[in-house]
Amino acid sequence: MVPGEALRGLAGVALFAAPGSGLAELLPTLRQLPPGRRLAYGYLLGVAWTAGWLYALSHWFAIPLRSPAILAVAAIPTLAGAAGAWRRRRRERRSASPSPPPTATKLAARLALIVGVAVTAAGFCDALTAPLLDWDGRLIWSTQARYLRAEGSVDASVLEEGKWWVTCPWYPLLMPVAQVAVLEVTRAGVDHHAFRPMYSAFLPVWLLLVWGGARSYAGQEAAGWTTLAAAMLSFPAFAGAGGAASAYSDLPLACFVGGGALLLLDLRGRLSAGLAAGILLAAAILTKAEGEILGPLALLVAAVVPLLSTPGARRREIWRRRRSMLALASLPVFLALALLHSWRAGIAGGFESFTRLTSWPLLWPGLLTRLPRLAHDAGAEMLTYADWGLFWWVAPLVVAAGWRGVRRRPARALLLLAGAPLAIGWLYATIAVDPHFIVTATWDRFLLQASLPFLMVFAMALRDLTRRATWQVQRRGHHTHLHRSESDLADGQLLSVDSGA
Amino acid sequence: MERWWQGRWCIRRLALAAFLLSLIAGLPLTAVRTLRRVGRATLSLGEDARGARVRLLGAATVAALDSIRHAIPEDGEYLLVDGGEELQAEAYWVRFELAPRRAVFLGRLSEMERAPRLSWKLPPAARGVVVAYPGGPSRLLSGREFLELLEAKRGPG
Amino acid sequence: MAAIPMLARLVSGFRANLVPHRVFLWCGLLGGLVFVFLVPPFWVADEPSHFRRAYDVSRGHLWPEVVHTSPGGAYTSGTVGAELPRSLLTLEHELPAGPGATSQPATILRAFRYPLAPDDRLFVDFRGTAWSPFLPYAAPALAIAVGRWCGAGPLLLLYLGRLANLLASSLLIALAIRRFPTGRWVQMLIALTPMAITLRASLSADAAAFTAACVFVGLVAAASSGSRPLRGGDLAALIGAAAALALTKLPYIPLLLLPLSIPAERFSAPSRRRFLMSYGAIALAAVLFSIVCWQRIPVAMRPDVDPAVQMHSLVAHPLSVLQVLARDVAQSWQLYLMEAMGALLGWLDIGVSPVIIYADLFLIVLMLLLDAEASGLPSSRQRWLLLISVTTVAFLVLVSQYVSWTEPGHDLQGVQGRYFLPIAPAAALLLQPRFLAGRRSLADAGPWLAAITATLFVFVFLAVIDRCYH
Repeated sequence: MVPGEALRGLAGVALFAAPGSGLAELLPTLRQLPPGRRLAYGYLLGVAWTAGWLYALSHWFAIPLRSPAILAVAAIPTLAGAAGAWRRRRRERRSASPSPPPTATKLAARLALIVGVAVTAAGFCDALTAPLLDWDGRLIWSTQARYLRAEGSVDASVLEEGKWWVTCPWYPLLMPVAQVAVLEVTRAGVDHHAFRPMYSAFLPVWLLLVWGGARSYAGQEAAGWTTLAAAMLSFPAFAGAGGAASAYSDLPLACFVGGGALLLLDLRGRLSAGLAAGILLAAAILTKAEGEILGPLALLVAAVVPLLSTPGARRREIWRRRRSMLALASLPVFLALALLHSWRAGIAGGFESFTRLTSWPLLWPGLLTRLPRLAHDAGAEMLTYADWGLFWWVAPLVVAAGWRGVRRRPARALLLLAGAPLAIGWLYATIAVDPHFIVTATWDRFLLQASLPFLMVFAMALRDLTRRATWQVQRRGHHTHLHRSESDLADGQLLSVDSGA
Repeated sequence: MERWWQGRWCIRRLALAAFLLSLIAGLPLTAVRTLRRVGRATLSLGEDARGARVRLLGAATVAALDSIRHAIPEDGEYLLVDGGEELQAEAYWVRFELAPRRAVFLGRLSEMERAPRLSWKLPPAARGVVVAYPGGPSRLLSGREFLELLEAKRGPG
Repeated sequence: MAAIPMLARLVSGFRANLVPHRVFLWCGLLGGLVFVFLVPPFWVADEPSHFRRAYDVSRGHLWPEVVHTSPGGAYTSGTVGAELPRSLLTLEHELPAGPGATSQPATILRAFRYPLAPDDRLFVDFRGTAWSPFLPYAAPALAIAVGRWCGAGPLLLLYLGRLANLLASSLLIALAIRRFPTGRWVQMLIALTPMAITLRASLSADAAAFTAACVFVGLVAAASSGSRPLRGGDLAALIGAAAALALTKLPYIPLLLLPLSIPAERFSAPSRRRFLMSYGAIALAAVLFSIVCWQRIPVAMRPDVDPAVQMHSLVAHPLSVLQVLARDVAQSWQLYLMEAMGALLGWLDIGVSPVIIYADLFLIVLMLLLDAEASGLPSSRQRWLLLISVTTVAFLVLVSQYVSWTEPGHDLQGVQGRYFLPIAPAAALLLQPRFLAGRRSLADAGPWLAAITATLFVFVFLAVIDRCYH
């Protein structure tokens, strides 16, 4: 690692963190978050905004993917956010209201922080020193990025002409565009892996989303333990086939879908939450093929499930409160779908690689006949110590034992959101010509895509366990205390559970 | 009732204990992987991106790729042959290393060697044939050299 | 029309206490955005010429190049313009506009991908816009410069210019409306007439002229009323606005007399005398600069009209020229008023229903009567000065067209209603009566005016679609 190259890599992270922070400053929902979560959402918004706009400008307006356009797109929210922050601070100085007192941090949260920082540092060390060596990164994403960079356009002729050997030319190109943005702005040579830290940064973002969401749903203690468990999972942090150490798009997709869904599930229905969620879900659509299903599905689940979980009169009130937020969220989603389909219309080869590996007639009776084999292969992947430790051995037990915590209303939406990528993976394996290969190659990544909502459910169950299984509690008083606390959280509001949290 | 309640309490404690155990069990792996990466980064202080490529891919491989890059311009085209098996994927990595040069994939060398004798006609406008060998440096051959290679491997008859 | 009460309720649900400048910003920006993209490229009068000039200014060329002047004659059929990318002309050719033309959305979308090719240049004439200073093109030129830097094609540059014009003018006019001491709703309605908003949503330099006039008159009106003494910042803003107005179009210069009506008691430090001296010096410098820019262009607008000959006939036979002007005003004042409101948009070929224009005019007149605040109304002396300024500007507009566009021996030609739009803010102040001042609270007028404006916009949008796309 040499300082100049390391700085280039970190500049690539800053290229997205700066506009994202600007956007977070302009959106009240995000502005009011604690600094860590705000930075996490800011980074996601920065990637979504910068790479998304470059994708659209390049395809619809033929703007070259070069430094001027990249810097111009990144500068707009950065400057707007800086101006907004300056104005806000002036107003706050005038009103001079006291800041809230700091809250006590629990042991679990501290441990999660230590482990999280350590694995993040390890990820950055790897990204700053080693070139890209993973499979899909070199097979698809970074190769596409090189083609785009050479021609300065997402409509690269090598993708459109059909006579060149390109793998999966129809895959959406948000992350390759982000790679090009980093390489162009840092003027990195073709062999310099300046874009790798950009991927590594998704790991702390993912952990902060886990922490933030779990804290809202389950309180600080359960959030701490859940985040600690997430930080110690090898696959998201270190796997060269889908984690932050690779150039796969699965972790970014998980963050975009999960982050967007968590914002949309807030029953307060704030417009800024809707806009931020819409941008993240739009980015999900442009990140991976599964995003085209997961993005709109997250919107649908967030729109419908809270209504189904509520009795009649309150349903109308919740809908009235949330409809504007959902409408605003759907605008970027539709724009992204339009962009994706417009861009794909010019790409040669269609879905050739997908049709080569699958066959729809296998769906029935494959849904039944392949079930045992797929379950075995998927189970084997989940129970691999090297990737997941003992987490998947224990997670079903925790969720089952803490089922009371999972009975709460947000859990239904979260379970649906967790199940969706797994259902896609299962379907893919069912119709695959070689299901064993598909499961071993992809199941872990579908798990990663499902991780955020699942970990929220896990945190809820863990909270129930920790509150009920305390060592010195009296049985009767314990019942009363718990029933009162249940009703506090019954309406699924994102309330802080611990006092002063 | 009491036994049922005590049973549920046991299950909760068991679940929590299992969870804590899973955290403890995961600690060594996480620690080793973390320390390994930090250690590697410390040891490679002063090594630039090119040096890292040479270290990981091998000097001969990198030298071969550089010479192919020099011979074929960035907007050029070439024919690519996989000198190994599909899951070795060497053709994919060579394509990545040579990108943005455009590749036309001819196939696997082993299959060409077994194929019936045909009068081979290579697509025009390609600057050569790159044969990607797993575990070794790739080779850039002219059309004629590639056909001679095929003939040599096929042997007489 | 039944939708208006619903719209009003919807708007009031968003925000209480809708004040004029906020209503203007919302309606002006949202409606303007629709106009930017709905009106096809080059479908605003002289927009091709404005685009070429704005592009040239974006390259830092503040003065166009005069070519092929022949010695002897003061005016010639030479050319004035600059070396511009061929792609700009190709774009105009691919996207025809004006009488007899129609637009195809697919053609416009395809045109976004035309490259700029900035090095492939040829000399392009834009005499129609060459004579004005560069200031009216500052905002679009900045946007075009950024777009060029990013590698945008010519069509995207045009839209960027339009957006910059809309944003800059809307923000400045909103600030101006806020400063008016009386008749803020009237000023808002004037700024939201179909003509005003179409000009702001285009590359036309008339947008800058109207904006400068609105800001200047608003600052003068604010300076003339109020209780606190004028500060240095207020006077500096006034001088800046005057300079900006002088650097738009010469016929509007008489408006610069208005600060003479600011009462002496409004000044503390600096004194009125010092202010008038600084003001006079800077305004004069700006006027002289504008004159120099105009004089630099010894090229006639029309090949068969020699401005020097027309000037000579004006000086030699002033009464007959006055007769020509008076006859034209008598015959065409209604037409000019309707055009100024927006009855004929585009190249005077996008007809908006007279019902819409009369409704808009009725609303303006109604607000003129009701939206008066006694403390902010001009005094008699101020009204005289307003009258003199407004009529002089109108006179100069007519004279300018006589000199530059009217064939000898013909009736007055080339006058368009939009040329009178910049005097509308001053005219509204002049005409606002005192007898109903303060009698009626208009605190709840915001949602209604917003709803009515939005409804009128919809009819204008339909007129544009009907003409431009069928």
